[in-house]
Amino acid sequence: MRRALRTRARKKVGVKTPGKRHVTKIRQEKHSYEKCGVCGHKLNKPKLTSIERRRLPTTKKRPERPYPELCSPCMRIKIKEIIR
Amino acid sequence: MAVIEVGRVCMKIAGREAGKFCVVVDTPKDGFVTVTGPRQITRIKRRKCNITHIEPTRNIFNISEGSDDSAVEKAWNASGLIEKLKIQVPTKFRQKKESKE
Repeated sequence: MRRALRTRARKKVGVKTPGKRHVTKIRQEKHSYEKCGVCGHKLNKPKLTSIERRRLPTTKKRPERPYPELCSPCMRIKIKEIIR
Repeated sequence: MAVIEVGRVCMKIAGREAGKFCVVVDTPKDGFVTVTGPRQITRIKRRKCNITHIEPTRNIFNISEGSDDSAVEKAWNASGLIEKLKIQVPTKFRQKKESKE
């Protein structure tokens, strides 16, 4: 496999052809779902490849509220602590 | 203990306006309340809000039920809470105040 294709975003899959040959196919992998920094629950964001993420504007990749890296229950706990 | 009632200063804890101060304007009913910033001071618009998305503070204003935004704005200016709570007034309304003076 040539050097440019040896990244972790691509996986090698071994395939057996009808002519009884072994061939390696290359497949693009998507990253896993993003998780909350505090509790580890899944965030409501889609899975994006790096190219799709580069082309989208910032406001379409996060929610429009404070602490967008946390899930909403964890954000409410954090704001309550600020008042008290 | 702080209770949600007319004139109570609260902070919103959910949604786009989370982390900002607001004032309760009418009595709670069916789990909902009308709330206003007003918009010239805290950027919160006058609308309905769920009680569970509000956290009351120790401060309370002496306003009547159903009062409009100008009465609430007078209460804010008279109380001196804008500096104490470190509220950043939006710049376009700040310039209007300076030109009036």
